[in-house]
Amino acid sequence: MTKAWKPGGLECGETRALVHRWLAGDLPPRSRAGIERHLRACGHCFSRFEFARALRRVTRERFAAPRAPRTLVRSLTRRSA
Amino acid sequence: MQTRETRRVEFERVALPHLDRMYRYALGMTRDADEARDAVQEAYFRAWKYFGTYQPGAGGARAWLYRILYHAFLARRKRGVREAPWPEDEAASDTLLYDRLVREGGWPDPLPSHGRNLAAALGDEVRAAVGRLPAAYRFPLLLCDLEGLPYADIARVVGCPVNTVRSRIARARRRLQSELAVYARNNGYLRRRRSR
Repeated sequence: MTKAWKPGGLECGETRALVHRWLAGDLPPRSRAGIERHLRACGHCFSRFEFARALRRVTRERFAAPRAPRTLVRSLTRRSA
Repeated sequence: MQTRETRRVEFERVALPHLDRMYRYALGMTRDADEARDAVQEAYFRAWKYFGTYQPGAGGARAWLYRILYHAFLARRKRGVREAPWPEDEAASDTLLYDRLVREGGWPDPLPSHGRNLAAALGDEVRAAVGRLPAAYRFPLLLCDLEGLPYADIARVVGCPVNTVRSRIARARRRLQSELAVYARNNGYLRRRRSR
């Protein structure tokens, strides 16, 4: 029986399930280190991770907004005065 | 004792630097410039009203203001429409879109550069799909992906346990993956399934 391939102590499925939490900085250091070792060793998971990161970047870009309207700033400073 | 003038100066120092950020978040949640402006204005009026009780704590003024803005939204929504129940898509996973692209979409060598290009091509649909998420899921997702708040701060903003935040964000991501996979299929990024 062959030993399961688990770089970083994680199978690919486990890594997939944690990719977004890793990107959000929501993992404890030990899990984070395991993911990082896995991603260095597994090209498929690394590509998944890059794709997830790209989608997050697109979300930020697509929701980028202009600065708050100056009329809003004026109304707030007037109100607090 | 703090005079009104020193309180005003302090409020402007603490709260106004976050105004653009609050407006961006409001715009992400409402998708309407007028509604976003009204929500931010209402939130800042509330913040000014309760500024005397403000205590800089975990997450600082930013988390405090997000929390006020979030509750201003909830109050406004209670006066508006109710959202339909949201069934879970059992087949969806956190990386559904990527996995389908590799398996069905003719992206056999999914280099990161392809990922970036494709993600950019999906950009409009990403925005639309986030906008269709129920508010209870959209709010924490945007706080995470758009505003970069840690889960613990998001939990403080929305007033629920961190595990609930994790679960809502994970569910929102699965929903997005599912919708983006449908979009990718309908727009030729995936081969259409043959009818049996």
